[in-house]
Amino acid sequence: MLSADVSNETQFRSDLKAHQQGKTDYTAFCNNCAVSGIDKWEVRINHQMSCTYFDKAGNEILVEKIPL
Amino acid sequence: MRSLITLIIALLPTMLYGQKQDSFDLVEFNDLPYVDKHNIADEKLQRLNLVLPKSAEVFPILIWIGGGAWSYGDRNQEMDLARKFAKVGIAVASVGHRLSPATWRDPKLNTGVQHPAHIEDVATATKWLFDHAEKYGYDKTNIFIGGYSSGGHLAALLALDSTYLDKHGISRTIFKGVIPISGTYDIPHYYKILKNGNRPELADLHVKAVFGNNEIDFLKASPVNYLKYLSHPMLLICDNNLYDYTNFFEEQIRQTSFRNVQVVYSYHFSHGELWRDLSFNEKSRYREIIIAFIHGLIQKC
Repeated sequence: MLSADVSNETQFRSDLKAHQQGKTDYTAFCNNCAVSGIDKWEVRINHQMSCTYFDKAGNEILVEKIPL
Repeated sequence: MRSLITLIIALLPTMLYGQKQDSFDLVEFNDLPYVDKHNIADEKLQRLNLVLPKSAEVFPILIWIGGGAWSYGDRNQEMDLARKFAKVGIAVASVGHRLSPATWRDPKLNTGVQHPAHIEDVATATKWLFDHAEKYGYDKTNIFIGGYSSGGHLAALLALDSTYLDKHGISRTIFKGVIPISGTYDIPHYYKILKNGNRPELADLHVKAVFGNNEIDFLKASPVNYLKYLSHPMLLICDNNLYDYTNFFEEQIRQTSFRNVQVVYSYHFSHGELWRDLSFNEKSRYREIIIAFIHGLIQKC
C-alpha cells in the first residue's frame, strides 16, 4: 500500500472521525490513510498518552490525546 | 542557555560514546556456540552470530531473534539487518534457537522442539552474551533485546517472565530496553484468530506444534500475562498483517500503570515488507526509529 506524497489533513481528520465512529473498518481506514498521505501512527504510552499521525517526511499531521 | 542545555541533552548519548560516526567498519564472529559442549542439543542451531562495530569505545548490543514462526528461523538471514545496526555503532547478536515442527509449511518439517525450548535457548544465549561482554568489547550495562515476528514474541517474553533468566542467575533487569517487532503476545488470542481465519487448520498444525496442546501452556507462553512485571522501556513496531496482535497487546499495556511504551503502526507494510525494509533498504524510517530508541537510552558504564 503506497501512501500519497502530499498529506491532506482535513480529509484525514474526517476519515479518522468516521473510523472512530465505526463507519469504516480497519482496511478502509488504512486505504483512507494512504490517500491522505498518512505514513504511520505512533501511540505513546507515557505521561502524554497520545496517538500521533505522521506523513512520509516524518511531519506530525495530527496528535490526539488518548482518553484514559 | 536553555537551548544550549537542550542541545547538550540531545547529544548526551553521542558524547558519552565518543564522536558520532555514520559508518563503522565491522568485525563478525559467526556460528559461536552458546551452549557448552556437554549440554548442547543441536549443534547447528544453538549458535549465534556477532556483528561488532570496530571502535575504541564500548558500544551497546542488541540481542536479536529473527522470525520464522518458531519453526524455520535462521540467524544467518538476519545478517543484513545486523550489519546495518552495527554500522551505526550498535553491536548485534543474531541468536539462533532450536525449532518446532512446521508440517503446515512442508511435510518434511515434522520434527522439532516445543515451547519452552526456544526461549530457553535465547536465555542461554543471553547469559553467554552477558558473560562475554569484555571479550568482545560491548557494554553489558547497555543490552537491548528485540526480534521480529516469533522473535518479537520471544524477546518480549524473556524481558517479562523472569523464569528463564533466573535459571542462569541473571536478572531480566540487564535489559535496557525491549524491541519486539511484529510479534504476537497472547497465544490463546493468536490461536483464536488463526482458528477463525482463512486457514483454520493452522491453529492446530502450527500453534499446537509450537506451544503444546493445552490452554495452560498457551497462557504461560504469553507475554501479556506478565504485564505486571513491565519495567523496561519498550518499543513495539508492527506491520499491517499483524496489526491485531500488537493492537491487542497495546490495549492490555494501557490498562497497566506502566508508562514507557512506544507503539508504531506501519500500516502500509505487509509482514514481509517491513522485515525487508529493516534488513535491506539503505534508508529505513523504521530502522531509524529503533536506532533512536536505543541511542536515547544508552548510558555510559
